[in-house]
Amino acid sequence: MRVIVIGAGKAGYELALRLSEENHDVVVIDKNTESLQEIANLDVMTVEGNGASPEILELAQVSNAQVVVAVTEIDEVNMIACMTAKQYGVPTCIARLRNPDYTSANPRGLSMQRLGIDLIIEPEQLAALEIARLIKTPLASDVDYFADGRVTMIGLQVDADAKIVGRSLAQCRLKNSLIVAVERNEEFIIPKGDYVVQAHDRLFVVGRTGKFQQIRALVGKPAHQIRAIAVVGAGRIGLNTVRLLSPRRNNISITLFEKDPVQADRAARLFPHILVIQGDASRMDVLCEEGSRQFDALVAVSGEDHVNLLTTMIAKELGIREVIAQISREDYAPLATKAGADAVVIPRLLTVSSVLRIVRESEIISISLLKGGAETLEFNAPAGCPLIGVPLKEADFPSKALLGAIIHRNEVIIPRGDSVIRKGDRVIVFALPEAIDELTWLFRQK
Amino acid sequence: MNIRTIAHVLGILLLFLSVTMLLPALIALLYQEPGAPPFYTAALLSALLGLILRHYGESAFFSHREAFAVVTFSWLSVAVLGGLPFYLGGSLPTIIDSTFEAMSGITTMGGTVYSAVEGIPHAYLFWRSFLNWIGGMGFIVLAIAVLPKLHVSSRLFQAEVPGPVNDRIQPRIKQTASVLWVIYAVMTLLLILLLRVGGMSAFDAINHALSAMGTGGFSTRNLSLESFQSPYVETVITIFMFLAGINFSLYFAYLRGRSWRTFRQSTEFKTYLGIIAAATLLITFNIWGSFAQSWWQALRLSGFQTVAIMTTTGFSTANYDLWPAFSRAILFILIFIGGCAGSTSGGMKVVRIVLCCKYIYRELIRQIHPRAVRYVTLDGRVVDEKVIHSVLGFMLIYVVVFIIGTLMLTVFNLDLVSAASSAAAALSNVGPGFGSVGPHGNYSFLPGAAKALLSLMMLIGRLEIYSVLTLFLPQLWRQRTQPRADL
Repeated sequence: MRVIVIGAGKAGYELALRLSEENHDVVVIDKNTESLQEIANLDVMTVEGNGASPEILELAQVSNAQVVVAVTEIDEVNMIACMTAKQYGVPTCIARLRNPDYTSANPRGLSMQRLGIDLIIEPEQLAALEIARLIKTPLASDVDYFADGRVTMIGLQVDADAKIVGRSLAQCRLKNSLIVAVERNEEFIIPKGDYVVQAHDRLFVVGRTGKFQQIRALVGKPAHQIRAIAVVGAGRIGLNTVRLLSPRRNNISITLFEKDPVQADRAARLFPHILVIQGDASRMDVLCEEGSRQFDALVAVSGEDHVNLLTTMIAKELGIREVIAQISREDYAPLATKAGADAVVIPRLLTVSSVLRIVRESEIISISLLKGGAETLEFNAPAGCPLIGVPLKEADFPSKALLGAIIHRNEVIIPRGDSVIRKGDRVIVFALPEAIDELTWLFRQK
Repeated sequence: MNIRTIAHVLGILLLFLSVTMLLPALIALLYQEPGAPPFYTAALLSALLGLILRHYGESAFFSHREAFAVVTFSWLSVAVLGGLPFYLGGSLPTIIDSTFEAMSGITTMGGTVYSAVEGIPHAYLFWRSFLNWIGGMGFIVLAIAVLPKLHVSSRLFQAEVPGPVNDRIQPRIKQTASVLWVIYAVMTLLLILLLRVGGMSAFDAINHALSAMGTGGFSTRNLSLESFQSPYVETVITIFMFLAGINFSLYFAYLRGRSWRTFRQSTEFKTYLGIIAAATLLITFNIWGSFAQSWWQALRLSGFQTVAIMTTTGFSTANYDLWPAFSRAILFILIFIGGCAGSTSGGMKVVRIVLCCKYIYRELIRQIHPRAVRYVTLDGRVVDEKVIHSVLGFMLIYVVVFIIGTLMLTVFNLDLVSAASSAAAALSNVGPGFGSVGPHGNYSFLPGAAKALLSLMMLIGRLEIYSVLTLFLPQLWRQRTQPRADL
């Protein structure tokens, strides 16, 4: 499939990387020669110029492209690029839009279709959604919902003195959930029953939503109610997060820290009922003054990685139980974990996963990207899928992937060896990068 | 300050006043009383003065400064010229008395210098109630609604209509004024009918309806509504006083949307309701057993009095001056609060009290969180700091004017309760106060200077202070280079 990526920024690079690895023909367009040079190391074609200009698009052979993704820094350019591409008959045009005037704040999303934009990606809104999910699932490093919210996948790091340490998975006898993967020393493993859990392992668990008490008790991370939250940074992610948490309705108290007086003022006007503090939260006295002890969670979304890292360290130093940090550069993510962040949100990964869902030609319902290339996928089992009707222990399932849940007629089944996938079931699969090709082939509509 | 522009607009308003004065003359003819000629004289004088001013004046640049002057002077002229018939007809001894009476009428205060109103000619009684009614929604707002075109309308409207922020309910000021007056007139008609059904004479019904809707408080009886001894009349009047104390733009919103949403969402309305309910209950328990035998009678007395004072109408159904100190203290506080902004009532207005309380809360939060950025909100919307400051300034000046007024009244050997309550009653346009100016008393015994002072305080209170007080600033009167019309 030919995919044209307009904009060779961070998201453009990540997209080009993932798509080329999945054997798509990728053309990257950017005005900036330097960013193109960096991207040229990948197996992609590059075109220098304005991605919204028909001339440049023709150079990239836009008429043969199935997907155009516009991820330049400027919303308006992304929109015009999509409109232009649509006139060349490109079936799917995706634009990244940041300005809320064009997106979520505007309920008449229909007009976007008329502009030729099939999918809008709002990285800040996606990040805020993820943060809101993480807040609702305390102490998890990753959370994602599948099957309309009935199935949840969470990542939990094992405490040093947790009960589970030294036990094998078979001994845990989990009900309602299944450990689908373990991350140890930044490497993902698909565990077998004899796998022995060590301290600081990160377990990825798929299970019925709201039924994680057993595993939480085992890893030493019981769910606690989050009542008071500090949000650091009143940028778009920060403001979207506050809006999504709707503090008044949910009876949550939010304190929003913002260094810049103008931004702080704007936030105070937007959310007059939360406490907006104009001050630098990466300074210890500012956090202390506001009574850091009372916060159940802190969300560092200042937009600058180093500030977020520093804020995370200070927050942990001050004893805040849960810290969620936003990081722009994926390679800093392990640093954030080392600094004590319980969860790391990478807006760019969210952008990429939205595009991948469209580009892959199979019955993917949703997709959740993890750091290091692992993914959790939700498929519809189409007729003719070779896994249908065969007990799992006898099925030829990829070894680098694990089935986490089956949804059969609205019923969630935590699979065992004798479980069977039937036609029309939805399945939730955890997969390492090596298994993704095989999985998409297995679940391809025949 | 452009004096010739002021003269021009003032001239038009005086001509308008002279026409309205023909209405009581008509009443005099109807009852075949000799009361008509004084009204003719006053109307003629007003018309003459209006024509002279128009001749001298010119229609030119008009700013908020000119608006202050026009509003204040036109209200002053209404008081002086409108009071003239009382003096010319020999019903009141001095011009100060007659001006006090007319000022008390137009500012909807409703305190009187007549020691007995029963027996004075129908035309006078009607004119007093009619002044209440005109003053309630605003003399100038009426002129804007009725007159073909006043090019300076919007500035005048802002200066006359009470409240910290005036919300326009229609794009054009003339439409806004007309809508307000139509709602007002329809409600008044309804009240007249209901009172008539309750057995009041047509004349009494009209008079009480006019003064109740204007939240004025002039009555045709010495004992005010106490003399009717009718639970039905009291209930009806209570309800309509309450309605008149609500922001009229809420009615408009209801008529447009046919939904009570605006009422439910209005913090001011809910607070107004809450204060009335709380005060009524407290007074009910306070007077139950001592001044009222049954709980029903206590509720009836306290409900009526609370609404009458809170909406700054000033009717009475009992001599509340005899009530326990706690009840009187509550009524005294209600005098200051007054009704809603954009209603016909006086006082500081509930919305200002609400904003002030929210401001205090915000300042307390700031003490705990020195770095907090926080705005005061009203009905979910952020209130500009400028508005907050003007509200606080208003309340401060209000209190200062009250204190100075009280002090000056004690000079005339008035006891402290009477002095303080008459100052408050004048400033908030309530009418009766406590002590010698209580519900069974009146203002006739005061010396002329005290009456003049109270008249000025009524005007200051009705025009919400700034319009009147800025006229005392020399800067306002300085001639200013005018922008040329052809630029």
